[in-house]
Amino acid sequence: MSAPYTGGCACGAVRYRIFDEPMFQPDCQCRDCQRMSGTGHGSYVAFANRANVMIEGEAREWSFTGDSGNMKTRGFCPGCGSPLYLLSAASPQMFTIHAGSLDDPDDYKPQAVMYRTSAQAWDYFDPALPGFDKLPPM
Amino acid sequence: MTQLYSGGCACGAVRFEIDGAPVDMNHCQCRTCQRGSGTGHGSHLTFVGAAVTTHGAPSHWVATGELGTRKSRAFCPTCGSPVYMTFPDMPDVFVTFPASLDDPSQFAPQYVMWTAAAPAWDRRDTELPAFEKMPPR
Repeated sequence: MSAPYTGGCACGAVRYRIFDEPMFQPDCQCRDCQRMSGTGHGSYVAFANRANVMIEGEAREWSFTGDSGNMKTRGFCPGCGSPLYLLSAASPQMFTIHAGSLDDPDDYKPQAVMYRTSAQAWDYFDPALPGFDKLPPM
Repeated sequence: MTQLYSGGCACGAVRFEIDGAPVDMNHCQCRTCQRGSGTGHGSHLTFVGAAVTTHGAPSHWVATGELGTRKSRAFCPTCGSPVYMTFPDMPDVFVTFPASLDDPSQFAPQYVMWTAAAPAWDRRDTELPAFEKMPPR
């Protein structure tokens, strides 16, 4: 069995272990992801099944309507503010972590860039990655 | 000519206005900025001695950087958005994040620092000066 994906927040109050392989690993340049990161995009590792996720500590959650019209819930550490995970009402089993929360950032292997229509001119990403104006076709 | 900067969090509970010009605008690829942004770098606008007004009640998390500087990271307790940083040892300094601005196009990065800590997948503008750690003072 391959090693789980592990990570957590900067202050150590919230930790996760995920016993699964990622389903999808995108950067996203939408305005919501910009606000969550403070910079031009967010970077994510999405897993198909929340049942494979173990969390210690308690993230605070906040729900919002994303650019796509879907209801999203973000999880962050109430102590240090680190972004941790995202949930999607449209895909309730999916569990998505922010790549910067990984213990080993090299675990992130970006596959695509989404919401390029919302990009800030100063933002940079790998030009070799497939890009999508908004969401990739599902 | 003065420029006004305004911004805040995603839910609107925390807001700020700045009357002044940033003295420094950068990307930082250090591990602390990676955890704070959730991606491969953080981005900052630094103001010194500017007139700053803040509204709302952010949460604060204080951490000490490598050189001993205490940084207080302000974020919204409701929506989690990072909004600004203040420094207990340097009260004239106010740092905010480009995506916290109402107009993120006001950000014009001048350099990238802490490239020594960058993950391989985090791309940067190779035309910007880059420093393995801090830029020289």
